[in-house]
Amino acid sequence: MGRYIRIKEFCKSHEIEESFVYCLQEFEVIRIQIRNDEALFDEAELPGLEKLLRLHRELDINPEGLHAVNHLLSKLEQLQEEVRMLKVKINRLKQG
Amino acid sequence: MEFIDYYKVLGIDKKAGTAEIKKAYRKLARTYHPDLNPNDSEAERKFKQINEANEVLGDSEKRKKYDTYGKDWQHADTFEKQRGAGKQAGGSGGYTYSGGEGTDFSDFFESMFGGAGFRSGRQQVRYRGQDYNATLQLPLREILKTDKRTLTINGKNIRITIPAGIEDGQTIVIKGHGGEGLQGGPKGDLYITFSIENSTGFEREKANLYTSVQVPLTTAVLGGEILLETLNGKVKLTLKPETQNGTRVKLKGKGLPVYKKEGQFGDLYITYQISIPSGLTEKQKSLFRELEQTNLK
Repeated sequence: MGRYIRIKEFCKSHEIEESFVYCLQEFEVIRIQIRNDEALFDEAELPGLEKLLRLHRELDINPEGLHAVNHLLSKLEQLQEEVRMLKVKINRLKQG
Repeated sequence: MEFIDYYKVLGIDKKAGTAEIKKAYRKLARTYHPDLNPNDSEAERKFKQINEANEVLGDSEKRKKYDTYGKDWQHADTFEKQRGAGKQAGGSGGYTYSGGEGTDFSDFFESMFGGAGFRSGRQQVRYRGQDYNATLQLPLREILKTDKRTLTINGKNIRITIPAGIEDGQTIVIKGHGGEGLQGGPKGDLYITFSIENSTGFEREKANLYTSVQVPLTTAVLGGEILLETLNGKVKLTLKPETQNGTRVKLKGKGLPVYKKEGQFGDLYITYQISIPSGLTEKQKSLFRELEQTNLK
């Protein structure tokens, strides 16, 4: 089982309102779990959450915008991966 | 070292006001922000440039100096010293700047403003480095046990641990192995996505494996044993008499290791496919006819 991070701790160390994280949960950008009355999220989601926080702070993107950005970035990553795989296939065909 | 036209970089007029500069900067930052442009070094270069332009034009003192000397920036320091000396006589100091963080500016900026040490006290925004993405292809057989590998990412060797049972498409994060931060910001992370190639004949669903095996008709009817080659070696399967086509059996713990749960394994599900014999001899046909006479159902 992966490690979990308390939302309270995350928000305190990043000096952000907890409502920001809950808002992202509403848009299904992150998943929050409740254990022993404490709201937690999986450590694996930390880099993604920090990225959204940076975009929020540095570019003034609101949670609705972050939702759209997150969705488009996932698509971009998928497409980049697809291009990469196709390049590998093309190279194989050229060699073979 | 070339003169950089910061107004051109931000696409604004030389008479632009603070609000206009801020607006132009924000618009361009949204386009070229490293988090929005993964694996795009050109966007990163552009982002550094607009950041630098904003650093100068968004600060009234730096902008004044930049506007005053423009293309004669190489002589700026001499002018400043002369002017400063004159003013000191009159009891007033020249520009004063307090220290700051590490920098990632152009040579032009460093030369004109002395790098980060020339800050006017305005809070400097630090940007975390770009996240890098990489894909690692592995055959299914290589995820049977936890393994260590050295990868070369952007010319640097990184030793990673690949936990047994990693999923196809799963991503692991190696903190601090992404691009350099901007303006003293922390490094980005490295995301490694695993592409697990499966040419084993076993279908995978998480830690469970599925396969089908051909069973001779006589073994299915009378019972017997068959050998199955699994990912961990050969396994002897005992069939009960009158085993039906499509019967599925489970070999507990003969699947893949469960991700990050040491000592736990998935199961192997085997579906029996009874083969109908072909190319029968006359004798065999005759025996089947005899069977038919017995009203076998």
